[in-house]
Amino acid sequence: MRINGPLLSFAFRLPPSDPWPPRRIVRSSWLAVSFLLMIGALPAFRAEIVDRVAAVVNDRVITLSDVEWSFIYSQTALPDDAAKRKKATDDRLNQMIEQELAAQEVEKEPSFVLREEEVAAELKKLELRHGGREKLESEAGQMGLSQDQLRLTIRRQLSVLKFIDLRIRPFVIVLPDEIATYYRETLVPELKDKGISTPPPQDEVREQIEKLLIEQKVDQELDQWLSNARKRAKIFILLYREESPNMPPEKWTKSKQ
Amino acid sequence: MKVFGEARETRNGSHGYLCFCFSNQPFLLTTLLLIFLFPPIFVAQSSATTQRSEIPTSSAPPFVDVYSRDPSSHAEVTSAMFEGFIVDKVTLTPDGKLTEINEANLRKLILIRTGDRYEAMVIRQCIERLFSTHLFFDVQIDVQVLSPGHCAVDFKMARNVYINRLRFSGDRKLDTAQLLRQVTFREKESFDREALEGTISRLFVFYEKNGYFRSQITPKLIWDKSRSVVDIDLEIRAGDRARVEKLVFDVELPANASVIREEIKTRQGEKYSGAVLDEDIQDLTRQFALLGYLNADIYIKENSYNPERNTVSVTIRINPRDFVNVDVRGIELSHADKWDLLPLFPERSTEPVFVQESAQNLQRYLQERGHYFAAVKPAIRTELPRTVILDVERGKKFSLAGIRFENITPLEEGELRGVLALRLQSLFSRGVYTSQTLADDLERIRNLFVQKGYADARVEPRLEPRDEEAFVIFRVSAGPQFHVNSLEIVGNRAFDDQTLLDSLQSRAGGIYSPYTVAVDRSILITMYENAGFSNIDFRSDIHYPFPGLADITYYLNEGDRYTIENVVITGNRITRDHVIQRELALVAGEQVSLEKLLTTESNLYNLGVFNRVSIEADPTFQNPFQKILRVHLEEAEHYTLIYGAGYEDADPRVTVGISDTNFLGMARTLGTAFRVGARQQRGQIGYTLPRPFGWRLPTLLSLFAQHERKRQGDLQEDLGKPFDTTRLTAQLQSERRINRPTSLFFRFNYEKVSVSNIEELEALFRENRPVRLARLSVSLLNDSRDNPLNANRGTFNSVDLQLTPRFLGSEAQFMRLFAQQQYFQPVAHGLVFAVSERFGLLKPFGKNTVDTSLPVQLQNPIPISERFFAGGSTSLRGFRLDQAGPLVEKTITIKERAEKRLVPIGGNALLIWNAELRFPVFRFIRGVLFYDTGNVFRNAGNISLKDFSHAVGFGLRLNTPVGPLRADFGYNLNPPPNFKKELFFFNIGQTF
Repeated sequence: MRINGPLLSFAFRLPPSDPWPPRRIVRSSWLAVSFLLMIGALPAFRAEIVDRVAAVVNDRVITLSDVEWSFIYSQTALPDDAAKRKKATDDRLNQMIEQELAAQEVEKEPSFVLREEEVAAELKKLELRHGGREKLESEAGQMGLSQDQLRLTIRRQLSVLKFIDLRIRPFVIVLPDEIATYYRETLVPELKDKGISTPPPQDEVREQIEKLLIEQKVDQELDQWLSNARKRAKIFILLYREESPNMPPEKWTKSKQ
Repeated sequence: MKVFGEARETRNGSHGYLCFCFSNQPFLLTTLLLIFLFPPIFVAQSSATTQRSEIPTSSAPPFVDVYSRDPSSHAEVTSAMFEGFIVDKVTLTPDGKLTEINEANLRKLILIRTGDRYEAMVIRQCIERLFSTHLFFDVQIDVQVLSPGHCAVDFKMARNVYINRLRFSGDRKLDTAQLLRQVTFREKESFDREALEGTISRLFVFYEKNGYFRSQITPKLIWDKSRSVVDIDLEIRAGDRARVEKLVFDVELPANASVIREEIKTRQGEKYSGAVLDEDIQDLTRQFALLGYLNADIYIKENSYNPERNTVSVTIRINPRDFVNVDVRGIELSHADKWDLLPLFPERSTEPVFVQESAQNLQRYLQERGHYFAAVKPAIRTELPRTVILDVERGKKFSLAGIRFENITPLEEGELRGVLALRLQSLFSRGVYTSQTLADDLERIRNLFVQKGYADARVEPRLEPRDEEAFVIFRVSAGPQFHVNSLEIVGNRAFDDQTLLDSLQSRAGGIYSPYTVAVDRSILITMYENAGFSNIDFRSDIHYPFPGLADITYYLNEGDRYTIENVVITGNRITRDHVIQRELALVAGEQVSLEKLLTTESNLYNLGVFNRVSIEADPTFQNPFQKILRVHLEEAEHYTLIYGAGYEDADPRVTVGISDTNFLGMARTLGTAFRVGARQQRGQIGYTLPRPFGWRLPTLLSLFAQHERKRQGDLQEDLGKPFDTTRLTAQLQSERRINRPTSLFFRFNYEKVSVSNIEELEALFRENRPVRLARLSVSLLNDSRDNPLNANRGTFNSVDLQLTPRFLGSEAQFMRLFAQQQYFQPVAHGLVFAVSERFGLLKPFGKNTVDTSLPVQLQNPIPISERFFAGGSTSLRGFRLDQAGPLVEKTITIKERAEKRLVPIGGNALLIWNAELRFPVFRFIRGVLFYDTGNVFRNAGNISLKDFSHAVGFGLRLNTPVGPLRADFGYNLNPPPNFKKELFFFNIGQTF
């Protein structure tokens, strides 16, 4: 799991107990659409599968609509080619599986359950940034989020970030040699490629390089942690699978009706 | 910057900004909200910046260029497309017959109804709610457009497939129990292909480990789609076992390969077993360690299989490495003792911690054998060869003769003695004393003082030897008793301060102890859990402003409070919903209370029709502070066939019966049983209602018929009651459970009793053969025995009071009182002391018929069938069955000869006392020494110690799964004339 991309889309993915996707977005975005949908977009009078279980992560469901919404929120254009589109969907589903796994793993750690005060403090900061509580409530309501749902979303995601900050980040160390190697083998050549013949001295950029390397290592540790979690987890993927993992495989099975 | 702030190729630069900000927590929420707000903003902007509009044209459905679920399909339809449609029809379509849940319960999970507007989010929540029942592995939503703006929604559910049966077939060659240990799933679990494939892999590895490299495993599954269950048959062909072609030892001196070859179980030319080879390595490691080669390197260097010859070549590498001299001075220890007592051997290390632990273990070993002052001095010499010395000074042997306490007020000595693990000497032992036991007892004594508020209490032990006896003295300095100066609770909102303070054990001005704080914590958390809260956080803060005073503050974080949105019942294939619902202590709308959850669970178990009851509070996926209470039940097999055999007092018998414990799905029991013996025959039909008229008063209606023949025989000791008895009884019994061991029974029975086959005794009992008896009775029962069939501890008490009044239809009026008490106390080393007391009293009242022509001693208004009789293997073992008590001499014809015999006629009072000392003999054989005393008396006024019979004896008990087989020899110390003194009894079950 890389922190930039998937965690961003993780932010879009509300936990199962939250209403998702927020209603108002759907209404505001698609109200005008629906009329057009009625007219021509849909094959009339034919039943269509519109939603289903796409994957299960330790008894928590990721639905087809979750995957669809994640593409919408991330503004990702899918390839035209059907096979590539399928791969992109599979990849996105796998990312969402990892995000769900991360949230579940953190929930198991009692020391990372946030106190009400911490959630309240963050909510307070949010209220200040949005010009007050009423304004924040109004904006959240437009998205179909109640205060309780917003609070729960914040709590879940803050827990993951807190976990990263307390359990992973403090144990990541960058050695001076590594900074020097990065400067010498990566930064300087990159700058030269961009036409900067006189790169800044290493001491000037040491701090930035250190931060960058720390984040890279945090990424790697997160990946390892998730990989271990995945081995322990019960994950079923149903989307695009010819045979469900919960059904007896045809090659060994005789049916008795 | 690569990780954060990496500019992404997006249509809007602010997206890159979001990436950057996301790494910083303070901006997180801003980011979150921006993200949620973003799409509409983005829509507004993107329409200005790009030709790709979010509003589709009439011919292009939305998302067509963003996503398609089925790459091969041309129809790209999403749930969001139907947003706002009116739902005209909602159907549920499982892929087969649902047995675990009915439609009414399933519909509780569907949030959308006919007439509602379609909401993609709500549909999604329905999928999660259906999935959380654990009955389906997939839920699909089909939507059909019926007319413009109207649709029909169909919930298609794919049922979980459960494993019905798992078996192994074929030429397995290995034990089924061993094979089952490789299986990662169980019958009744849901099918998981990965688990099956994993199991097959494990089986292959297991077979190879046991030398079967050519094994074949073929899974065969039979899937019953109608019941959604699968039978799994793993057909195994083990093939021939491989042999050890070569066994080579790669050894370093001083190891000797030829000696080692003889020591191990693996042999060249013989069958190969990886498990045996592993054991050999462990044994060799152990042996080398005990010889002083603690760090010996012993492993399997090569283990290669030749598939053509089906053989294995093994090379074992042994490098003894450094030698360590472990010198135990002052005591001889066997190899086995060294391994068990000295952890430096199994740990293979001379680290100081292991050497110290070895010294402590040795000391404890010696103290357990009476060397209370044993000392073991460890030493480590690092110069080569490395040496560990354990210098043992055993000292004298002692017995623990006394334990004394000094300065223990305000506690009582009895209280302190009750917590000690130290034991004084006895007939069979020197007592129990070790340094560790002393330290543990010291801590226990201190804890007793701390519990009483003496937080600074100190206890100093002393061990005083006197000749061959030792005495332990505990000297206590209690210190000041701490009191609570102030008590405060912070953070509570749901309950006011006073309510909480009143519930606590701690009180301002009361005694302070850490134990009371722990109890308070438990009280508060339970209180909140019962009020629907979860994730309650409790923290205590104690300050000591002055010596002996404590300021207590409890900080509470109440957590979230949940209410029940709905109750869904699953798993009841037979039991009706309303039978289950009436046992629920929680209903929709209430708070999720832990206490009520437990009460519900208990009520459902008490119905007696479920093997398992699990109650889960699932999220609603709609409101985060509501829960769906899912009650999942596993019904027990409800048809039971009972069959058995027994033997009691020379009366062999056979029992057979059948019952349905969940008759008509109402949790009622309908059963019938028949017992046929040489002397006694009995038939019974019973019907139990768990809640008649909705009352929680389990009631049993039963009809039974019983016939008991008198004993036939020539000898005095063969005679019992001198008549046959036939009873036809209708009974109504209700039980009220007071607490776990205690129940109250109310009974009414109507009985027709006939006495027959009296012959020459007809004249005696002419007036004493009433036909009808109607009884009202109440019984109190308290049973805390650990095992009712063969108790070792606990008590059994019962009192039964009966009235037989004429107004209910009885032909005789009397009162009957019967009380019994049994007590079982383990003494020591498997000895159990068991005592039983029985007292019975019959008292006529009102008008009764008495035959005044009979001799006075025979005049008794109580029917003979209802009188007390005693004697036999379960009462007085100095008599044969029913022979104790009042006797009358009669001349009766035996084999055409007139013989005088003493015939028991029963009595109106009974008093019996039995005592047994039960002791182990060998494995499952136990012995018994017993003393029985008491008798049956004509009336209560006739009870007299001089009329007590006394019998002593011994017996053997053979413990079996169905109870003990019993053989007793009784010796009557004061038998009536012509009665035998020595009697043998053989039975199943204990005397009492």
